[in-house]
Amino acid sequence: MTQRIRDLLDEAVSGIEPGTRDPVGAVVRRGRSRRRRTVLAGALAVLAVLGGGGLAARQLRPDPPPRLADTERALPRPHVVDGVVVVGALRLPVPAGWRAEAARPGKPCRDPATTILFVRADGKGCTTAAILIAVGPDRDFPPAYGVAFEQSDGGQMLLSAPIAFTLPGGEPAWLSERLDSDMMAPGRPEGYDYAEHVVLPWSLVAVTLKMDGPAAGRIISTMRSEPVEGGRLALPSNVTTAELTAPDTAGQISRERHGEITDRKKVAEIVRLLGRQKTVADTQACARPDQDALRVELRPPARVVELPAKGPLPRATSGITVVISLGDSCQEAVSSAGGRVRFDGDAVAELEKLFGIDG
Amino acid sequence: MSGDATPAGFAEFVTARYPALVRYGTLLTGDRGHGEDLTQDALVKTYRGWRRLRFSDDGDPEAYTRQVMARAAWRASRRLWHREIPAAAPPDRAAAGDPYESRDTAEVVLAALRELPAGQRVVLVLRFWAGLTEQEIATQLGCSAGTVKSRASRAIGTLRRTAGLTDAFTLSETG
Repeated sequence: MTQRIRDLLDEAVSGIEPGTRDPVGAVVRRGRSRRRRTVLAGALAVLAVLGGGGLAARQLRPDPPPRLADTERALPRPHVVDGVVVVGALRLPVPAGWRAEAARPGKPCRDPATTILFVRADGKGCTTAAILIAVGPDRDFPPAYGVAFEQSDGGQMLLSAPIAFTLPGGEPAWLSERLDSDMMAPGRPEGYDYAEHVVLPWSLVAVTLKMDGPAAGRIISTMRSEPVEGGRLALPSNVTTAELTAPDTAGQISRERHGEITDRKKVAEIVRLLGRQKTVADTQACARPDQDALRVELRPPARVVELPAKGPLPRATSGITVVISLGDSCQEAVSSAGGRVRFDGDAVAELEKLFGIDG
Repeated sequence: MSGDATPAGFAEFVTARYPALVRYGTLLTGDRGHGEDLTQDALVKTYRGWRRLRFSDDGDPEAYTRQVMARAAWRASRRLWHREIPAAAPPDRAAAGDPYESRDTAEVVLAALRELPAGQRVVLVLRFWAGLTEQEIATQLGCSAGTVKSRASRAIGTLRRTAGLTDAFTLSETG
C-alpha cells in the first residue's frame, strides 16, 4: 500500500510547475521584506499621525508633474494570429512543428517539448511546456539576482538590476540570466531545470524558456515588438521610499554602492530628477544586454490589505522599478510602468549624490 | 541568476531544485500557491544559513530545506493554514454530474489532500511519500510517535472514504 500511495502523491504533483519565474530573486526579496516589516509598520504609524498618505503625496508633487503610473493597466490576452503569438507588444512566431495553446482546468499537457503554453493566473490546468507565457505583475517582476551579506555585516540582501535589452521594434525587455552563463550552458544533467525569463515590463508579459542558453537565444532572436508605452517615465504618485542599487567598477553589487532614502524632500528630488529627462523614441532605443545597469525602486507607503476569502487576490501595489542602462554609447532609463528617457552621466551623478553614493 | 557575491552554489541549488521543492511544498499544503510560499520561506532560512552550515562544502541543503518546510507546515497546522487553504482553493470534490468528471488523477488526489487537516497531511506525506519511519517523523516534528501513528491512520482512513480517490486507487493499480 505504501508504494501505491507514494505513486498517487507523485502523480498528484508531477505536473506542478512553480509560478515564480525567478526563484533566487524571489527568495532574496522575501528575506528583505521580512527585514522591512517592522520599519514599514513604523512608517505606517507616522503616516497615520500625520493624517494619512495625502501629506506625502503633496510633499512629493514635482514641477512639472511627473507622468503618473497607471496601477490598473489592463492585462493583455495572449492569442495567435497567422502563426504568431500576440500578447501585449510581443510578437513571437510559433516555431515550425510547434503549437500554441491556452491552459484549461482539467485539460492534460500535450507535447510539452513543442508547445507554447499560455498559463493561467490561478495555476490551474497544464503548467508544463518548453515556452510558458504569463501576464500580470507579480512578486518576481522584474527578474534579478540577490546578493547577501553576512549577519555580521548587517545581514542585508540586495537585488541586482535585470539584464536590460531592446526587442526589435523598440519594446524594452529584461532577462533573468545571461544566455552564455554557466547556468544556461548546454549539457546539464537530467533533472536540471533550465529557465530563462524574458519580461516585457510595459506589456506585463513574462515568457519563460525552459531550455538551455543557445536554444533560448534562438527563440529570443525571433521575437518582435510593437511598443505602446513609450514617452516620459511613468512614476508612482506617492513614494515614501526610494532605493538605488548600483554596480561597482567590476559590475558587481556592493553595499557601498547601495542607498535607501526615506527623507521626503530627497525622495521628491529623486522623483523629479527621473521625471524631467528627455524621452527616447522607440526607434532610438538602444539598451543591450552587455551593459551594466542601475536599479531604482520607488515604493509607496505600506498598507494593510484585507485578503478576500474567495476569488482572486488583489493586484500588487508594490511600487515601480526604473532600470538605467549605463555606457557611453547608450545611457537610458526605463520605468516598469512605461516610459523611456535618456539618462546621461550628469543625471547618474546627481542621482547617486542624492542617494549618498560617491563616485 | 548568480551574482559573484551570492553564496557559492546557492543560485545553482535553487535553480536546479526549486521545482522539486515546490512540488514537495504542494504536497505538504495541498495547494500549489501555498506550497510555493512554504518553499520560499524555507529557502530564506537556507540562504541565511548557507555559509554557517557549510552547504557549499559537504552539507545537504535540500535535506535541510525539506526539514524546514515540514516543520513549518506542521506548525502552521496549529495556526491558520488549515482554514486558509480551503478558502484559497475551493474544494473540487468529485460528484455525480461534475463537469470536470474527466479530470485526471492528479487533481483528484490534490483535492483530497486539501480536504485533510494540515497535521494529517504533513504526516501522510512524510510517512508515505518521503518514506520516513514514525519515529523519524516524530523526531523531526517534535511530537510523539503515537501522534504520528494516529494522524497517519486517520489520513489514510479519510482518503479511502473519498469517492474520487477510490477510482484513483483503481487507476493506479491497473495503470
